[in-house]
Amino acid sequence: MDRLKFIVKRLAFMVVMLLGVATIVFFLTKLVPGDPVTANLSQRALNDPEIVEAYKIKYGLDKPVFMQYLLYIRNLLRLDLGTSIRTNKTIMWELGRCFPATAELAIFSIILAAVFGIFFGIISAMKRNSIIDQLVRAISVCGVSIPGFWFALLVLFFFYYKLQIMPGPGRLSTAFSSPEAVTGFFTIDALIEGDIPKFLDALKHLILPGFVLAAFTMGLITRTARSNLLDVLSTDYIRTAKAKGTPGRRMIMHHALGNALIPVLTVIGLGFGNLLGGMVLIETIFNWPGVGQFAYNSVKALDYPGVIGVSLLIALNYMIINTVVDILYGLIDPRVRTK
Amino acid sequence: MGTEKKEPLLQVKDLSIDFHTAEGVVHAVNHLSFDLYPGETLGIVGESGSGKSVSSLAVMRLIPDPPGKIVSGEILFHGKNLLDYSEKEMLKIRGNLISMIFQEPMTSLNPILTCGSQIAESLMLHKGMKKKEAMKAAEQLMRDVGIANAEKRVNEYPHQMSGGMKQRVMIAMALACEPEILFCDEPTTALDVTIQAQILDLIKKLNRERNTAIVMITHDFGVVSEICERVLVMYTGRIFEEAPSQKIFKMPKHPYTEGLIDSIPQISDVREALSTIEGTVPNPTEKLEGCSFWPRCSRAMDICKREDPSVKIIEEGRRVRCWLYEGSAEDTINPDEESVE
Repeated sequence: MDRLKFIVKRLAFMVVMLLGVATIVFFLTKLVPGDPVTANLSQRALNDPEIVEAYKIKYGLDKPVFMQYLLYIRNLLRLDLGTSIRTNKTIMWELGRCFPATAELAIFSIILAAVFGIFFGIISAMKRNSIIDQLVRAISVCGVSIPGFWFALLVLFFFYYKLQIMPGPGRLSTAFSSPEAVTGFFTIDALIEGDIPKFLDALKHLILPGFVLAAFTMGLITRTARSNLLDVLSTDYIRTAKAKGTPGRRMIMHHALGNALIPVLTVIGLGFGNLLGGMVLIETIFNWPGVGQFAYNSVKALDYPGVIGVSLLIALNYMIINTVVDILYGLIDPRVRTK
Repeated sequence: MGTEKKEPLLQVKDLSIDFHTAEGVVHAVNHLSFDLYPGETLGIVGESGSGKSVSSLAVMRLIPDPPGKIVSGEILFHGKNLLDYSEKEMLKIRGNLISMIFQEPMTSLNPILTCGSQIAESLMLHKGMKKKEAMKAAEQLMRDVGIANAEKRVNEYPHQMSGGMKQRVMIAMALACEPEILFCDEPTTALDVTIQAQILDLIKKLNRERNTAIVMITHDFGVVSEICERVLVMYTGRIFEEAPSQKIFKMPKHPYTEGLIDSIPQISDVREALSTIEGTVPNPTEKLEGCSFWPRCSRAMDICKREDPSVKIIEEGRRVRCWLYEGSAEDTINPDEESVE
């Protein structure tokens, strides 16, 4: 019963949060100097007052701002995110097109970041102050501080242009056609089609952007894992385990890691939310038709349904991720479970 | 369960331990020597910083290195020097032949593992039991240490238990493999008085029934009088006095022991203020001339400030490190040569 109450409360909270996000972003887009009409119509069309008027009426821009807001919220409550002023397609359709591309890349890179981050963190903590530790720490500092766009250009230059062992920008090589969209993830859709070469090609295209995006989060995860593991290794219960005769590897895996992972989960969650929001620069460099590009184009065109749509998507992502992280906390830590 | 004419189980000989800290080198333990006999209960008493916990950790080879380092001495267990053992060999000793329970039951258990599995782990590590079998044995051990509803509690987590219960779990864990020596590092300090008595009773019972040798590390002479047959009084990493415990209460020899015993509050006391020993334990990084206790000693003489006293055996089973007994000694052992710097 308590669990049901918790879920209902959580869902209600989500709805309120999303309405809040919609409201703030709506008025922010209205505060921005500029006019969606001038941003979207050509100079010739702008010279014709009739076209301008028709355009305004079509997108409801003729109504007072507050009316526009009420209309937007009414539609939102009907799960209608409106139509893009820029592309004249529904926002739902646009997000459905670009979100899977971003999600596929984000999932790929968060797995990279988590696996390597935790692994490096453990090694670094176990071999504290050794050369390996110094090296791992240097790598993680680099990961956090290298500008992504520069790193992206660098890896493209080396692995694509110089060594020619990796494919260039895009989600697929031109030799392949996009797989039939089932999940929107090219790798999975290619597998569903049973087309292994296409699957491998899609996977290869994920590697460079995935690695570049993972670098930052991996650096954070490594540092968090290392410092938490070191904290845990100096606790009384680890001393107890040592006094019991627990060997080193079991000490880490069985006694220390679970305790040390709790804060790491938070970092992974935040990093994943960040990645799902789309990375404008990286998506541009790798020509990745994702959320970041859509957000950028929407802002440029003052396409407020587009901007709000993306904002809601990002907010929703974070809420879902936080809920999942909370559930995982409970799985790891019995003290959270009983609360 | 006397100490007469048995082979010692554990012999600590001339043990010195340094800690390298930012403020300098701390000589935590200086030329410590003592014996422990099978089935015996030995108390090690001293204020915080006297080196008593460090000595016990040294026997388990659990001193964090860095910053700690055993610089000299031998720790003979069944005649074999534990300091020569590899880490792998030590794993077979720890928790199996020599166990330890700690002061802080609240933080000494892993919060994300069930109490039962933490007890069972010893059995799985040392007795080669399978998980299921070990959990059954853990349940029985919990019953043995007086935990009611053991069949339910075996699957509970530490945060679901009280401090006294956690300490019982710690004891069950330490005793799982029936060790020959159990080090108890202030096992009752963090507990309520009533629980303290229960835990001490339990330790006494285990000592009697299983013939486990107990080393009780404490700052509390009350605990010593409760369980120990023999007492070592430590100060600044040295033994100041060693005696059978009835004798030490009747007639302490060292002024420091006297001070410690005097500062136990008595119900019959009509004194307004509690008796204390003046001053505090000296800063361990500073090297002191003479006896390390003289600045706090009410009976300090000139020689105390110049020269460190050696250890004198003043009667069978009693030794004391104090200039007051110079000349009265039957023999002088272990002339303490301070490490030359």
